[in-house]
Amino acid sequence: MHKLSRRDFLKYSSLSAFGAMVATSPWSTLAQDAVTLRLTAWGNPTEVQAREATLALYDEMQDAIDIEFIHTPGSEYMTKLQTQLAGGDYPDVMFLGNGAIEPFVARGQLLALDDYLARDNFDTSDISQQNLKLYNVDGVQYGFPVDAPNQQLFYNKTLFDAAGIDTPAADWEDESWNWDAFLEKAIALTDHEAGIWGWQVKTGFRAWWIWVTANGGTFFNDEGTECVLNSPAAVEALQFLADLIHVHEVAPPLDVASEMGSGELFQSGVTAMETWWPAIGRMRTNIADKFEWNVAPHPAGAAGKSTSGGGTGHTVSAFTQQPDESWEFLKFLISTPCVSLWTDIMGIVPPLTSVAESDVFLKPGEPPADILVFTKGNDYLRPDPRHPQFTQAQQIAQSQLERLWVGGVTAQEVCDDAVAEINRLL
Amino acid sequence: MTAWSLARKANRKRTDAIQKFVIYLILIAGAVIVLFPFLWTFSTSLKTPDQVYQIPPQMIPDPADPLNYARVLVDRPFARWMLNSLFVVVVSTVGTLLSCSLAAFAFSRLRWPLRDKLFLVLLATMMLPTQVTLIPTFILFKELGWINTYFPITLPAWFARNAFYVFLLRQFFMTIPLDLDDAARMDGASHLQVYWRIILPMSKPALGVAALMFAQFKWREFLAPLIYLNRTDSLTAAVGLRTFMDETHGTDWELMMAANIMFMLPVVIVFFFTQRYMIQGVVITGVKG
Repeated sequence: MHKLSRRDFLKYSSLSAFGAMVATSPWSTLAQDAVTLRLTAWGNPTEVQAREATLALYDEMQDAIDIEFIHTPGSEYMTKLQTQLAGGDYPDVMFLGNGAIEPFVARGQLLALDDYLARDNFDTSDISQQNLKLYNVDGVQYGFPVDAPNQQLFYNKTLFDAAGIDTPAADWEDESWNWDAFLEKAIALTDHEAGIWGWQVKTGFRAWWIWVTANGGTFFNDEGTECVLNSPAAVEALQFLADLIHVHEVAPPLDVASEMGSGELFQSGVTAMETWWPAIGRMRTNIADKFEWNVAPHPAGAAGKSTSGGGTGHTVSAFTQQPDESWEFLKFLISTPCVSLWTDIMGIVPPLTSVAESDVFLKPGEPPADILVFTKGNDYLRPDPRHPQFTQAQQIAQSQLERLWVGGVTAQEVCDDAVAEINRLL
Repeated sequence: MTAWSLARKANRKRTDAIQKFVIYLILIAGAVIVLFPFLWTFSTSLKTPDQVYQIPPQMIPDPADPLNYARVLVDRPFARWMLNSLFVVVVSTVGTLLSCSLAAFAFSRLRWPLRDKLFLVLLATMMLPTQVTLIPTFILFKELGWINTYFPITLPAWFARNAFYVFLLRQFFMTIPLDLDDAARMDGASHLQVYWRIILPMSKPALGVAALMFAQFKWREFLAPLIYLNRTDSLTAAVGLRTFMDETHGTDWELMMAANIMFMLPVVIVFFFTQRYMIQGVVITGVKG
């Protein structure tokens, strides 16, 4: 057998490496007639599927614009996008969370759409106004929403029926569904021996923000110069939630919940009520026929009812070389055919009233029976506070509140500490 | 042999046996602790979605669902991602070995002005975190038109970009007596011939260590492939694994774990065949891979 000499090894390995590089080189890219726009987005496999389906639809509808879809997995999206933007490799259309809009606008990275809206006399009345506002900074529109998610109270109807208790009212205007009524039901539903809890206190910002705003609390003062999370209204709301764990014992302590897999408690039938973003598709699949479930607004506090949320949207990069084509594509993304297809595949709450009122979203005969709670809830949406320091301030609040959820301190003490720390930051 | 010495011998044997038993017990306990996460990963990779969250947890899933592995390959282009990773690892490891050993040769066997000072400059580049040079290098590769190609993640390896491996090989080359070079030079060998015929064959252990360490690093490399590769089917497996995580809709842990096992497998197989080099690597470099 011929023995491979080092010289041969060197020769062949260099040749193969060079050959492989040429094969993967950019020179193989073919010139195209149509304008190619680059759309950058993150997304799980279902989102990628929805993305590909809507892009195929766009491809069928016109020939002038081709879309190159750049998919980046999950939380690494911002790292990649910021490197692209800083390095001058600008995508044309960007998928962004609503919380990113203000910082992107501040850095001059988004194209203002007002001129295009006026030029085309574009009608935005079908878009949920609360959600449209999330992409508006100082009166200038920078994008359109992809969805209109708000967090609602999911409940296990089978457990309510077994305990002989009335289910929460789906009507947003029914003020009898208040904190007292909620506590009463949570106590009646809890059965420690059977391992059933009336509620789970979720510790995410948007889960407790609903209760704080329902009670009239806010995070910053109007001028944005001070954190006011230690105001009586906010403190009362947070203490109410902590008491559900430590005083009334209707919600599992955090360590117990985490051991049981806190994200799965409702789907496993362990908790009777829980705050959830509109995970309708996921619940339909995971719960299947294990039990009956439905949704309702959270109970009214001193200031009425509230919901939190935000969602994601599409924006155009300020550095795009094809602003006109990007605008055309953006119009398609907020059109009824595109939103219908997206809603059908993703099982999300659509940002268009026309789609929200159609069977694509309502899916008659499938749970939840009161699905309109989500769309009607848009009017009660209290988005995340808009403030340049909000991300850090929220992190401080979250870490302080952990002490409250664990127990042994009062909401007032925790909020005072959080406010002192946040105000130093401001 | 007296009865006393026999008894003493038996006694020593027993003490040895007890000592061995205790040592093995500690080692087994250590092995269990170290292996547990792997066992857990493997166990989860065989579970159904319901079993993943079952309380108390099942260590041996019943029924086991080996189809998770097939799902990983069908749901995502995972096989393609593994091949992409393999390509990147092979091309850049060959490049690193050749270029770093050449540079190390120049720094250790040849005499030229400012050699040691330049070596210090080279070492200083090790202090720069990747994040610092991320954007300048991104701009460079963009200007070259290399975004969305494998060039940015393979080609730099052909230019001795990794100072650490130059350092590693230089230190090893310096242990080879210079007399060998002199003898070869007397026989008419050129510098390159000395490098290729004398130094490289004598440095197989160091080259093996460098190859293993670099290949392992490249297999797991995340940031550069994430930044430079745009098409889903051109991703490497390390980046592809991230697509199994989903904060909003819930991660399919059983698929994630099955993909992890497949991702780990090549490294584990290589480890079994090259244990000796890996351990030598720890000895030579004082660092773990």
